[in-house]
Amino acid sequence: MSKKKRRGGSRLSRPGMSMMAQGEPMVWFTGGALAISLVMIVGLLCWIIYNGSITFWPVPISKVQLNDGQYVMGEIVSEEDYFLRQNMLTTISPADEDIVKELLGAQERTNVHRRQFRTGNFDITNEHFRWVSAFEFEENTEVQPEWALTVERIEWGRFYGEPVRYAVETQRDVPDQEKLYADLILFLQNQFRWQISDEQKVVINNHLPALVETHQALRAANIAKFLEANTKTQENESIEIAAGFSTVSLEEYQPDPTQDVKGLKHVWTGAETVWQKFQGEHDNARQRYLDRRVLEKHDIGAVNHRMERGRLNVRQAELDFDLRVLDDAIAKRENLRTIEAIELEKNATLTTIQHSLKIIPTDLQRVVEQLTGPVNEYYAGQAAAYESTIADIDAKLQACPDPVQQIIADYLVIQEEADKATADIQKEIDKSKAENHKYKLTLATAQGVEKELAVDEIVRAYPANQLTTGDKWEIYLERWGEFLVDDPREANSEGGVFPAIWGTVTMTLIMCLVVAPFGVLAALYLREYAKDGVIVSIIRIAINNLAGVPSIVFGVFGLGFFCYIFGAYTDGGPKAINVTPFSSSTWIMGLLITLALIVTAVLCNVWLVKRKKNVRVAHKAWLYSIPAILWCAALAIAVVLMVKIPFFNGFFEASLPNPTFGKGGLLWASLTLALLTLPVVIVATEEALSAVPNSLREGSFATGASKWQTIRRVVLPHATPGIMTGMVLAMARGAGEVAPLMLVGAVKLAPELPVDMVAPFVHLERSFMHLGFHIYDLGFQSQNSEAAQPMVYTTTLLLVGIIFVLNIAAILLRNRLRKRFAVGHF
Amino acid sequence: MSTDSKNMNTTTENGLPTILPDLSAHQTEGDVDRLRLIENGQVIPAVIHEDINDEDIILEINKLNLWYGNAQALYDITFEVPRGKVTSLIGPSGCGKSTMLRCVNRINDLIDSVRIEGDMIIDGDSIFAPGVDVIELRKRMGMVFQKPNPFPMSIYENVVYPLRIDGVRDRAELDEVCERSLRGAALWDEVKDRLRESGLSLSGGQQQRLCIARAIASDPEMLLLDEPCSALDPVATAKIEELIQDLSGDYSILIVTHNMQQASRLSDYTAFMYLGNLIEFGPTYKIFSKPETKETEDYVTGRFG
Ligand SMILES: Nc1ncnc2c1ncn2[C@@H]1O[C@H](COP(=O)(O)OP(=O)(O)OP(=O)(O)O)[C@@H](O)[C@H]1O
Ligand SMILES: [Mg+2]
Repeated sequence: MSKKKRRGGSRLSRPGMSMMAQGEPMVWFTGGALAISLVMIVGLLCWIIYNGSITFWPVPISKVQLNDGQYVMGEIVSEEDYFLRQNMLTTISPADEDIVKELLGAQERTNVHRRQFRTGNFDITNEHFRWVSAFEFEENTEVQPEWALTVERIEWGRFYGEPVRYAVETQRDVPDQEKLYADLILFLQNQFRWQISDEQKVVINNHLPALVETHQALRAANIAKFLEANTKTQENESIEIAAGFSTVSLEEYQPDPTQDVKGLKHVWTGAETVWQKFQGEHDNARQRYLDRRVLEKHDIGAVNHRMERGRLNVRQAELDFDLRVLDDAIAKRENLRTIEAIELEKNATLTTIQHSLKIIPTDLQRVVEQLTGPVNEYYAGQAAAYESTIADIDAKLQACPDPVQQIIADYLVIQEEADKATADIQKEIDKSKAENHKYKLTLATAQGVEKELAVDEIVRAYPANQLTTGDKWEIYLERWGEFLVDDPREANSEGGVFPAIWGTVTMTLIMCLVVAPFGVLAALYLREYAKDGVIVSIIRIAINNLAGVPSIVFGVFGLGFFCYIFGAYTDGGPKAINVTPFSSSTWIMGLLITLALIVTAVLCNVWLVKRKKNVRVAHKAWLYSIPAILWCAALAIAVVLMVKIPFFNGFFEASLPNPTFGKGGLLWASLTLALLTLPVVIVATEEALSAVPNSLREGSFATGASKWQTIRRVVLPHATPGIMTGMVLAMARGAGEVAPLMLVGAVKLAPELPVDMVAPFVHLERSFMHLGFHIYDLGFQSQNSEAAQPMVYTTTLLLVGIIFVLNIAAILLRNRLRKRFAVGHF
Repeated sequence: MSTDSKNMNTTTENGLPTILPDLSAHQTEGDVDRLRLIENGQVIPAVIHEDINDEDIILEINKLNLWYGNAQALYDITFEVPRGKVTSLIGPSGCGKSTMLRCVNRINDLIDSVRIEGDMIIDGDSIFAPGVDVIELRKRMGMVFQKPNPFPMSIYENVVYPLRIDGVRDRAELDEVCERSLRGAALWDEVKDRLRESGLSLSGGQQQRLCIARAIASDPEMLLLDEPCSALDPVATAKIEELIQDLSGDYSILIVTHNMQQASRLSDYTAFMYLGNLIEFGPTYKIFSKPETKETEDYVTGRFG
């Protein structure tokens, strides 16, 4: 003891230690490396956060008049300096030439400032952006027009312009009486359609002029009433009347009995009035539009889904009974549909006849009544051809077995119901469309070109130069909201990314659900059950190598194996992957062999366990490979049997050649990523398991616990935090992966979400959108990547945010677990 | 105590030649040099005192040989453990005490390379016969390890663990066992208000007593203690020694220790082992006061080791 102390003392007193030995330079060196790494990471994050968050901030609109008299109006999105060179003179417009020459003088080049305007109005100008150099306009002539509006549209992107006119159409409702006259006149004029005697013709032609006159008088009175009710105007308001085929203002309108008035238009002018009127209706119109979208997408989608299922039933019956009936069934439905339409028209005509009897003189009454017969005949004749076709088809179908007939009958019922449902929904859609069609906003571009926009096509509009800070924040947050919960528009460069968020999260979760049990079980086997040996080492090395395989390789594997083999097999059975199935007897023989192998392997295992319990015999490692070989053989034969099964024709044979699972989809993408992240999970879990002290295992065994009880109650709880760490890593890797997804199911635009309210709720076969792929698509595949650029940043920010949230959630969970199993100090 | 074991370790690690001259100096005529013979690989019958014949026997060890792979660790061990008494195993480090102890509940089975010949008989049942249900066997004895190893769960769950794995769900029974075991391990008063807390939040001595509570929870016939106090301070050690004394009578206890005072204080019988051989076995007071072999006397008086 004392010896040691002396030595320590002498060391302390020895002067002149080298810098290296004291460690100071290394502190700076290592600390510096850390600082540089941090600066790079934080810098990247800040860059993304800054660019991602400014995208949605509303910017004022500037307007300049160029030297050639043209106007440029829009948001200024970026600016830069560049060198103007002599050789650029040729590309400069004549209006600027003098100025540029003066600017350059004798110099070879000169520094020029230029700014990029986002000019929008793509439908008019064919460009979204315009660079404007400082010399192209007179200095200090730039203005910010008070009433310039930024308009976000459903189609064609932004529009920048000043409000000119706001119009609301009012339709004139035609009263029943007037309509009856119109219908009757039409009916009587259509004489050539049905068989009609000369005598009847004479009676009709005698009465027609009087009828027409009555109708016109009635109409004129109705029009006068309508105009009186609707022509009160206020300031800035005028009225246009749709008379006949032209539109005239109220002042110019001359009542004319031969002219119908379909409706009129209230028109407002003056920027402020127009803006207020527009705002008054915009929300309602938008709401109607959104409701209509739900009908179009969801309700019609559901009906189509039902129809498709009906069709697939018949197709399945075809396959089951080896018949060709689907085309006949479809043809029958088509003919029935035509007959229904004819029936409808006939009924309308008959109703007109019925009602008109009350308003016409007796001799005409008689003639019209007599016409009922020919009308019926005419329509019967129209329908006859279709009916005979149906009879032919029926005769053919009669020969089919009863179940097929039943299926076809069901099919027809489904189709009829679906047609009815579609008609109902369509009626509502048309009503909503007609209502929205009434409201029109007209804007003028800086050049003075007028453009009429339907109010419901405008997603958002605001007078950019009049906004208070509060308004700006409102718009900013609203845009974020839209971004998070809406579908994309305009080739993904506008609107939201909700489907992509949904797809990313769903895929990551399914991936976790798959990879967690597999990874943990595999690691449990490797660490807890397997005897250490060559095979286990090889497996470990292989797993570690798997982690280094480029992800695109996994994508190729996923496409080739999951989609084209596994998926095609699921769709159409062995035939679909060009495998000739075994004959039934061979297959059953194979099955018996497999069973025999399994039984032998189990017996072998039981024997080995018994042998192991007997500690008097020496341990012989090679004995354990016997059941392993048996199991492998059984597995191999089972796989072959499964591939060559003769009794299986796939689950989705009916919809072939359209693949269901035989293409990229949510399931295959999740599986591919699960495979990709499997090594991460296995390695992390193995590490966590080996960090569990052996003394715990022995302690558990000593109380009489079995192996599994020990693992479940002692080993796993202790290893959970480590396993969770592995899952976090796997999740982060999986959610951010793009390359393999491009091959196995991520798409630019998915019509349907992979998880929705239609049974079975999770549609594993569907393609999906993914944020990572979305970024790639926006940035590099978009035909208008300049306009999409801000969205790239925002989407990146969102993706980073989502991964961050997923990680934080997992880390919090892990910390809670860790606290529960915290090791005490003593 | 820690210095004790340190010295012993150094001795074995340095190799035995340093001991031998020392030993021969004390050799009496007519006595064989057992240590040298053992080192040369000979098996020498142990000296067993007669007193054991008057005892009620719980565990009979019968010509036990054990190999780790090709290396033999126990040679022909034969002795008997009395019921309701404390029996201690002493001997220099690496002599096979732990191995011996771990044979009793077959924890050694977990090591693949182990092979055993001979037998042990507990209460008439063979331990190594083929077909013995190891799990049932282990449930008949509790084991406490050198280092406390509480499980990553609450104190309560730690104690009732043996019942849990038997599938006991009855709350009242579990509560009762928990209290009884903790009282038995002299831990109840310290932890009765924090049964839901993690077992890992206890101090080292408390953890060791928790392990003892776990070991006696299933009411075993035997307790196997492998240096239970080696990681503890004198106060905790004293508590555990007291506990062992309380428990003897109800339980038959087999304890491994490096602390001669502890062995002589605690145990009724003592076995002295050397390099996998049993040298002497007898009542503790005889082993420590008038052992029949020179080697035992040297070891217990600290002249070697
Ligand atoms: N798992 C094992 N594999 C191979 N040899 C082992 C193993 N465990 C112990 N041994 C050997 O068996 C012999 C006896 O070891 P054991 O642990 O029983 O000694 P001990 O008497 O308990 O020593 P200590 O007092 O240091 O705990 C030693 O030589 C040791 O190296
Ligand atoms: Mg030991």
